[in-house]
Amino acid sequence: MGRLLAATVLAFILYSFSLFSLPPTEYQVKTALIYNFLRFVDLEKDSYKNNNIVICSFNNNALNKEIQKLKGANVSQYVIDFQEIQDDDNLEKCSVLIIDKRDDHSLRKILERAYQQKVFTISDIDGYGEKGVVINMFLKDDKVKFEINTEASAKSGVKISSRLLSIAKIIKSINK
Amino acid sequence: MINLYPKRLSSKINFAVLLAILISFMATGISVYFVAKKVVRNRIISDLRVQSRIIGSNCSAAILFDDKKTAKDILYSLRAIGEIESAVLYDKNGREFAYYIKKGSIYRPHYSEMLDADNYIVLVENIEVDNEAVGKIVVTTNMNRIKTQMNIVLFGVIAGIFISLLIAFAVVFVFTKRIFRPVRNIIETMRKVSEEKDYSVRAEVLSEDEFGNIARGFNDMLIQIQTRERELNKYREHLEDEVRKRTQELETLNLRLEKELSEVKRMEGIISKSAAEWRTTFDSINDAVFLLDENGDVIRCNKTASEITGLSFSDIVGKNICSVAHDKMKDDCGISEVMQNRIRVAREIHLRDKVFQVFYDPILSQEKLVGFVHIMSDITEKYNLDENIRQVQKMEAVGRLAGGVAHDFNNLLSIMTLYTGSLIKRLKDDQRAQNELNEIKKVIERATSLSRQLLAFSRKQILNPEVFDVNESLRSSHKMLSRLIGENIKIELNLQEQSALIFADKSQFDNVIMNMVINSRDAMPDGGTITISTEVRKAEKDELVGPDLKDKDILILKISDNGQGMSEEIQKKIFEPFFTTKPKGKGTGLGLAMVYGFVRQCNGFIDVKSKLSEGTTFVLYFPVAGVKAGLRTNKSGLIRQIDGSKMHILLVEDDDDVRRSIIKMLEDNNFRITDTSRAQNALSLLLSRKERYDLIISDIVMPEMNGIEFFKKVREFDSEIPFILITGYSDDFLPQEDMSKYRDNIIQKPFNESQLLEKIREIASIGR
Repeated sequence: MGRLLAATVLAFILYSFSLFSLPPTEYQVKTALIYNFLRFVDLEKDSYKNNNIVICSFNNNALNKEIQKLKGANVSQYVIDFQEIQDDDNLEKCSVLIIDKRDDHSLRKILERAYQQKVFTISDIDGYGEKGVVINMFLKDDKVKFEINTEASAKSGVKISSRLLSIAKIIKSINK
Repeated sequence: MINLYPKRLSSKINFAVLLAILISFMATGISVYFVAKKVVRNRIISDLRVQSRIIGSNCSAAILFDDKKTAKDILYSLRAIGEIESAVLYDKNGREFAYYIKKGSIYRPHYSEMLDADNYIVLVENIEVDNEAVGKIVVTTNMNRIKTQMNIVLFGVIAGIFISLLIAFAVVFVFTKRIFRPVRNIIETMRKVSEEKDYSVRAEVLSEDEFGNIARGFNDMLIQIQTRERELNKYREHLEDEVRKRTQELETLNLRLEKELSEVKRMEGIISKSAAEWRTTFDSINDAVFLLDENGDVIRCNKTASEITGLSFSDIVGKNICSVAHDKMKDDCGISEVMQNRIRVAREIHLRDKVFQVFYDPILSQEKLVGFVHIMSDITEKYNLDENIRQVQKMEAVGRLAGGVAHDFNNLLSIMTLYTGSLIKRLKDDQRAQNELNEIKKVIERATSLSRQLLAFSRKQILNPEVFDVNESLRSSHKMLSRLIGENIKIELNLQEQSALIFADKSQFDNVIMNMVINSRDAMPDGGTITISTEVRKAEKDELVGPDLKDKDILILKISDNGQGMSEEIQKKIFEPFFTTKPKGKGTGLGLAMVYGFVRQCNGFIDVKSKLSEGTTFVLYFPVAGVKAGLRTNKSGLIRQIDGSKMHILLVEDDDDVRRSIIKMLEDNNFRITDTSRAQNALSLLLSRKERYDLIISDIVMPEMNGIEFFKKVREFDSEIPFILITGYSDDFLPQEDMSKYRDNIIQKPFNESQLLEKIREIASIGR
């Protein structure tokens, strides 16, 4: 029901854009991608929180407004939930973590915590993929593309569908 | 056409079983083929469906993340499957997302358009992610794989049927051979019985089934037949003996009959041949032959009879002969005479312009008259010929008589002429004597003319023939003739354009024409037209032109008038001398006789056709002369006094009176004369050469040696001495060749002094 709802929302969004001849915003596209990423990945069993997929995002992220619209949508038998968190919040409650721009030290710390908690990390900051985020979205030729760090996914306990892998840019972490 | 259907029972069963197996195998094979086809198709479709789903699933992420390149790369992996023609991805909104098309194949962009199911299979599969449709994949595949697999199946089915059939044939062959062995045994036994008549053979009992029972039954039957056969043989031998005896008797009888039949056939042949021969002969007879019954009615007649009477056989048979062949009433044609006398009766009858010799011959059977043979021979031609010959003979006899009379008469006239001339000369001062002598001279001239005409008729006149054109002659004398006959009669010339040359005495010819024209004039007292026509052509076969003109080129000269005509009786006598129909004193009766004599002397022929009140036509036939010879010129008739004082003439004349008159006349003209009555004496005188002679004058007709013979003898020793021959007529001993040879030397009696002197002058000057 949730999925139908999400699909309806997405369809409505896209329809509205087409109706008013407005192209989807970068955030909207990225939000849609995040939703689709969830459909081609399998998280660790413990990462599903009460049969929900909880998307966590730091409270200052510009994407939050759009991601919030995914709340209640279905992916397989799971329902999407959304929570804004603080830097020092516990990641236990998160299934997916949207990482915003920050310094490397902070990033490393957050990623360490995410690996430990088996949280699926997603970012839209250039170079973050190579820094250890599982899926990083980037712009290329005015199109939103994404790259997958298979090491990070292994660390996070995220199984990515070959179908997704086949269309993504595969990268590895650069240890500095 | 080859009949494939077997003759033998075992073969028939083999054939039936194999045919049944073949049909069942084929039916099974066909079923297997179609089931296999279905299975293969479904399996291939199923495989393709799985592959489509895998491809579709692999493309799901690409659709969701709008990665067309990756989707296309995935679709192109289908290249490995050869039968896939195309694969098209659609997003969930039905928009085409990516596609793959086999090189050289067709492109089917949308799944809603279906292809021909016979040649292509189109599979449409949904692409789902988490049970949510994210798009569709449409895969089009060809049937090559199905066809290849079905060919393998078909080959397998056919091979299976073939091998099965071979096995079935072997099995059926072995079984039928075993089953039919007893049957063949019985058949072989039957063959021996039927072909070799051997009833002692028995069929072998090879099985205990139905065939074994048949063999036993057959053997029982053979035993019975064998017994009966023995009995029958006995009867047959007896019967054959009987038949042999009868046959011999019949053959003897047959031989006799054949002989008799052959004889009958031979006789029939002879009779048939005789009948045909008789019929052919009967019809070939050129005379009309009628077979009559005792009453004179026609029983049968030949072909000529039908032709002569102009009636058909059916019109003749049954009618009385008198009405059929004589145009007379019954019994009025001589038949009653034969009935009475019973001997042959011959008659000559004139019937429809023809003359027939008719014979009646009685047919007697045992003294009884049973019929007649009536024969009619057409003798018209013979009759006419006989008539003609009779007429010619009569004219010849009269001619000879007239000629003889004229000859003697000429001698007398010669004497009278010469003496009269002498007297006229001597008594020239006595006027009265002169008048009387001139009267005598006129009478002598008339008599001379008569004599000449008689000679002309008897064809013994001396002619002076030449070749001349009759047409030319007629044209030149036309005016003179017109004047001669008066104004109420017209002469029309109808002359053929080509020249009509004849060899004749021209002056005599002119006399003839004049005579004829005068005759025609006399036949037309009230005036009319005389037509003279000429025609040159070849004498036709059977044309009545006389024997001299048969098959020759002839000139036909016709002189016709439309006067009173002549009866047949007059026509018969018209050419006889002294026959005239004119009043006494008006005609001599010698005109046409002279014409007749002239024409005959020219080897021609004359005919007359006349009908009372209609007119008369005289037809004169002359032989045509080949070349126009040089025309003779008439010699000058000038009488010039000849002085004979220097000439010595030897005169040979057997008639003393004539000789004396000639001597008198010649001596009066101062000729010196030596005379003799015999040619032999004259020859002696000449040969003795005591005297010189300047001229010989000799009569032709003399006893011992005639004038011609004398002339020839003289020429043997003297080729130059001039010679004059005197004749009363041209006789038989003066043939045509001599005539032409001596014509210039001849002077015809009677002649007068001036004529003789002219001849002497002519001969002496030329020196013949």
